[in-house]
Amino acid sequence: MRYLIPIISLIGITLLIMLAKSLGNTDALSTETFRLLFIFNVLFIAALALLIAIQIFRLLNSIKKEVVGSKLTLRLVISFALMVIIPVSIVYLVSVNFLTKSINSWFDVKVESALEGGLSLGQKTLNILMRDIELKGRSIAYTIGNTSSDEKGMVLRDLREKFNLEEVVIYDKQLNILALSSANDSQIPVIPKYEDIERSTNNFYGVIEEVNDRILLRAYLPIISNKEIELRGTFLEIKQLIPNEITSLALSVESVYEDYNRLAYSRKSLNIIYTLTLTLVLMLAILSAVAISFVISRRFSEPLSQLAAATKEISKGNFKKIISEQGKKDELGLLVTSFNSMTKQLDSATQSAENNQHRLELSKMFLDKILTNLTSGVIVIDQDMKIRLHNPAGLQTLQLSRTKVKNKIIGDVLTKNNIYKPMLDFIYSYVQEKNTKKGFSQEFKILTNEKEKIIRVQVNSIKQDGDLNYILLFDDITEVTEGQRHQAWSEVARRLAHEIKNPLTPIQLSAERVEHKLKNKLNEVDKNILSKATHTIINQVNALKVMVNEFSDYARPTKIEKNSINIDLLINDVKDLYEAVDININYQQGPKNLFIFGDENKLRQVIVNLIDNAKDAMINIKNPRINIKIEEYKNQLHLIVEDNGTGVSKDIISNIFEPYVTSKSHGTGLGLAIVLKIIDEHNGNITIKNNKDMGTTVLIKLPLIENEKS
Amino acid sequence: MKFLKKNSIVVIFLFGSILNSLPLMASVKDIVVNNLSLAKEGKDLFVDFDQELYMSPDMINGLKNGIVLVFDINFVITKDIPYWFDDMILAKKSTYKIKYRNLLSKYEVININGDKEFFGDLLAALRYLKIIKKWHVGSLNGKEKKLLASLKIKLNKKYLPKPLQINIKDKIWDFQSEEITQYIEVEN
Repeated sequence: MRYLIPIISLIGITLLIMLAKSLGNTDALSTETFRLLFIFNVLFIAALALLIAIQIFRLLNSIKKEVVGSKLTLRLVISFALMVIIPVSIVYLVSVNFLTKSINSWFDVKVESALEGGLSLGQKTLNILMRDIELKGRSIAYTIGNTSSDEKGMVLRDLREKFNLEEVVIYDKQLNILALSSANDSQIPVIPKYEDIERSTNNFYGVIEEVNDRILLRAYLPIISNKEIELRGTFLEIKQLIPNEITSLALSVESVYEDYNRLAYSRKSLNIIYTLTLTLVLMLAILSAVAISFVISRRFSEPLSQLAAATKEISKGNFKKIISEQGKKDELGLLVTSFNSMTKQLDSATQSAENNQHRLELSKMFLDKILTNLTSGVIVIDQDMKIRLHNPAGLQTLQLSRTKVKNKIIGDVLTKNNIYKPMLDFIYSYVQEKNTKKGFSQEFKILTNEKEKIIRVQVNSIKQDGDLNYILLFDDITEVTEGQRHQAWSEVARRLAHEIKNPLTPIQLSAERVEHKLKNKLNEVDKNILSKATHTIINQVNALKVMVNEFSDYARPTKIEKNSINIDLLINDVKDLYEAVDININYQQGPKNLFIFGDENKLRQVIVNLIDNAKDAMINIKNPRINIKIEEYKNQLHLIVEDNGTGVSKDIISNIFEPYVTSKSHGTGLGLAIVLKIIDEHNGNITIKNNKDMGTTVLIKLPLIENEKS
Repeated sequence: MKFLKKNSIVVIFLFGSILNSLPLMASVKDIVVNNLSLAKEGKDLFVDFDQELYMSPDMINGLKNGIVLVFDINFVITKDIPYWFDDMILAKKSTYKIKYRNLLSKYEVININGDKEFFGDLLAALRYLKIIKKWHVGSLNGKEKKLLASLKIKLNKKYLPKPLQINIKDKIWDFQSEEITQYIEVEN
């Protein structure tokens, strides 16, 4: 399109120039080509109109499809086209009117009358001159007719000279020259036409001719002679040239008259041709203007369209859109440059924002990861007690793992059996007071699933954007507390062992000595009393020794000698010890031999202890039985000891591994505490729970040895 | 539309050619040429023919209004070359003229020999022009046995007033004869 319009314009101008040339009175272009040129011009205009129609159709189609910039292009096209069409149309109308009037003004009635009058005057002058010739001719013919043959030559010359004629000739019937007199002797007379002679047989006949740009009057008349027989049937030819002045004037008037008549005759054609040519020029000008307006409009609206399209792209978030500047240095070029600069800045800002966002996300992910991996539970609540943030450990600590808690009020979430009520009261009191004291904490005992958990809750407040939020830190300190308790018990046991064990032996020895010294000095009654008393002392001392030894065992750091142990063989060994006992011990072996790395004696002590406990729990129980089972689970040995005894009281089950916690009437209550200690020393884990119907199940988890599993 | 885009120039040419040839097809019997004959005297070739000019009243009116009618007689002898353009052996062009002299109230006729005559009426003038005898068209030196002679008489519009020359609406000035062709044999 960029080159098409100039080419079309060039062709159009060339065609118009050629058309105008062929209109002029010049032979530069053959007038024969006018018709072809005219047709070419018409076809060219038709082609241009078709091209514009296609452009309009495409433009309207673009508007229909809501192509950016098409409406602006249409407006510009209409504006540019109107800017040309209106003045050109006015010029056209004025020109056609002016031309028609100008052409019509050439044909004035007065001019026409004057020219006709001039021509008529010339004709009349020639007729008068012809009449004069006739008179002269009759006079000559009469004179010659009455003149003798010998004298007629001389008379003829005299008369010619007298009447100032050009040539006078006498012809006979055979057109032979009988006499001749000429002003120009060297000129040979031209034989007259037979028709002219025929017409002059009885009367005068005159002919007006143009010869060599001069008007010649030629007249014929018969010679009537009564005297000379030889002159009978002869005729006279008279030639008279019209004077140069009259000839040139007459011919000039005739020429102008003919020119005028020709022009008048061509007037209609002239009007049509000029009107058609002007119409062609008008059409070409208008269509060229419209075509050029398309190009200009497109060139004008293109940057704006690109700007609009780019703006659309940017609104969609594509900040990479850059408009080609094409070296324009006008306001549009400046606009495009500014737009590109703005886009680059936006892109840069967006990039920066994205980077910041990415960093924020990374930070958030990092924080999330920290929170996720944090063993302490974290829950953030706002002033309305709604949960804003939490970590898995928080939910796990509060046994809310399967609950969606975000944006829920913490009080609505922690409603389980009112076990969290004290904790909630503590949190509420902190929040309601809008307390900002740091490290505000309290420990709560939560009993769930027959197990007591000790949870420490710490509340901290943070202020963000004017809003107060509260960070709740939940720590399950059950194990820590238990550990501390075990450590305390160990210390107590050690001190007891140390403080009690030392005086026991002197007491025992003293009692035995007293008995030995006094046994023979007392009567039978006193002797018996002494003996009972000393035996009691010795028995109690022994009992104390047993207790102190157990305490000592519990408190003493044990020395463990670890070896690879086939757990199956160990259980069978222990089981064999109880063959004599009237209790059914079922041992369910595992699918294969399982090995653990540990102290065989200690582990044997564990199993024995568990069986003893079970046995004690099944006194007065019909069909007592103990089921022992081993399983392999995730590289761990699961040793399960199950009985159908009375079970453990709910009051003590949560503290069952603590020293002196026992439901039995005898014993020190250190058995399970020692078991727990041994299992801990083997990096294992032990749990006790009451069965649903009756009895207890003890589960011990110990790490397996990889290379000896098979 | 794609066809027009690709072939617009061809279409314009074809359309123009058809339009341009329409008037030629429409006016072939304005001048009737009869009795065309060729005579050879030595190397000189002479042509005889009769012509009838059927002038329309508009044309006569134009003549009376000072329009000069100049007729071109084109005589061409060509040699037919198979599968190629014809070879022009001889070409001769002569003109005759008819003009009405308002001053003299006569038709001025100049024949192909340049002889000027005045006639009181048009019929006499046309009669004067009707018979062309011994029109010397040139010399033939070749020994070609079969040549094609063609003759055409046409009003030369160049001498018409410009508006009439270029008036595409008015066809009366497209005044011409058919092209009369005749095979001739030339032997020395």
